[in-house]
Amino acid sequence: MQRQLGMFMVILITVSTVIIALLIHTLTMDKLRSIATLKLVGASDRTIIGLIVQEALMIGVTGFWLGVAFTAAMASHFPRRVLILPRDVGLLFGVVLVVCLLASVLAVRAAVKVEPSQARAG
Amino acid sequence: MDDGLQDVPQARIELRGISKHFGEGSTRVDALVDIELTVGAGEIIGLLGPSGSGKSTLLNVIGCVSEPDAGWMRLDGELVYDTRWLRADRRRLRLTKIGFIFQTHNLLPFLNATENVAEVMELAGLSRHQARMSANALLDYLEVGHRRQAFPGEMSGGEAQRVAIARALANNPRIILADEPTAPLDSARAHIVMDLLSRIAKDHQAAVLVVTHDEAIFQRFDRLVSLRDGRLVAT
Repeated sequence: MQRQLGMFMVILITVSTVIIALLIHTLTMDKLRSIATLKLVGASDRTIIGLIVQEALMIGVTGFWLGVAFTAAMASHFPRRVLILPRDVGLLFGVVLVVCLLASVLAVRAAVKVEPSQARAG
Repeated sequence: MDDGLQDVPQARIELRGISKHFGEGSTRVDALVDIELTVGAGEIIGLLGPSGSGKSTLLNVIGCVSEPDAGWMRLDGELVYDTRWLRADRRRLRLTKIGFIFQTHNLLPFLNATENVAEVMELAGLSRHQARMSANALLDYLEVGHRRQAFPGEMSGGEAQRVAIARALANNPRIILADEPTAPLDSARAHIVMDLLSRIAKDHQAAVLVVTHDEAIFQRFDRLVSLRDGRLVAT
C-alpha cells in the first residue's frame, strides 16, 4: 500500500512538473515583447530570471496551499483516509519549491535568448 | 546640404565613420556607411529616410543594442565603440543615459502608469518608495498624473505615449531616441508630443533624435538629417 502511494506521488510530481513548466513557458512566451522592452531599458538577465522564478514559485506555493486546503476540506467525505503528518506536508512543500525551480528552467532559457532590439520590432 | 556633422558644443551623440553591414559575399547588405553625426545638448533632430534606409539600424547602434563594424561613437562624453574596442557596460548606458520612445508605447501591460515609470528607476537602484514618488512627479510634469493608477489598456493613445515618454525620462537620460513617436496619433496629439519632446530637450539639456515620416512635424526640429541606402544625404 505504502509502495503504491509512493509510486502514485512520484507520477503526480512528474506530471505536475511538466504542467507547471509548460504553464510558465507559455506565460513567458506571451511576455517576450515586455521582456525585450525591459532589457532595452537596462534590465539585466539576472533581473529577468528573478521575475520568472518568482512567478513560478508564486504559482507553486499558491497551488500547494490550495491543495492542502482542498485536501483538508474533502478528507472527511472519503471512507478510507491516508494519514498526512505535518512532516509530510513540510517535505511536500520543499518538493513543490524544487519542482517550480526546475519547471522555470525552460522559460528562463527562452527569456535569456531575447534580444533588446526585439522591443522595437513591429 | 546637412551631413549631420557639425561642431556642436556639449555633444551628446558623436558618430564618426560609423559603418555596419549584415551578411557576407552576395548576401552582404551595407546598412550604415561612414555615418558622421553629432547631436548636441538641447537639440532635437529629425531622422528621415525611406523604409530600409538604415534608420532602425542607426537607432540600434546609438541605443547600444547593436554594435557597429567600423568608426567610433561617443555618447555623453563616454567612448562606446572604437573599431577594435566595444564598451562592456552598454546595459548601464541604456539604463542611465538613454531614453527610448517607441511607435507603439511598449508599456508593460501588467503594470499601471506609475509602476511602468518607477520600474526603470528601481532598475537604476532607487528604492520602491522613492521611485514611485519620482514617477508620479514625472507623470505630473507630463500632465498625465491623473492617470497614474490606470493600466496601459485603459489609456488613450495620447495618454499611453505620455506615460511612455515619462518612462523614457525616468533616469534623467542625456539622450532620447524616439522611433516614430507620433505615428499612431492624430495631428493635434502629434504636436502635443512634439511640444513635450522640445520641452524635454531644453529642460533636460538632452539630445533628442526622432525617426519620423510625418511631414507635418518637420518644422518642429532644429535640424533634419536623412538616410538613404545607409548613407546620410542632403535634406
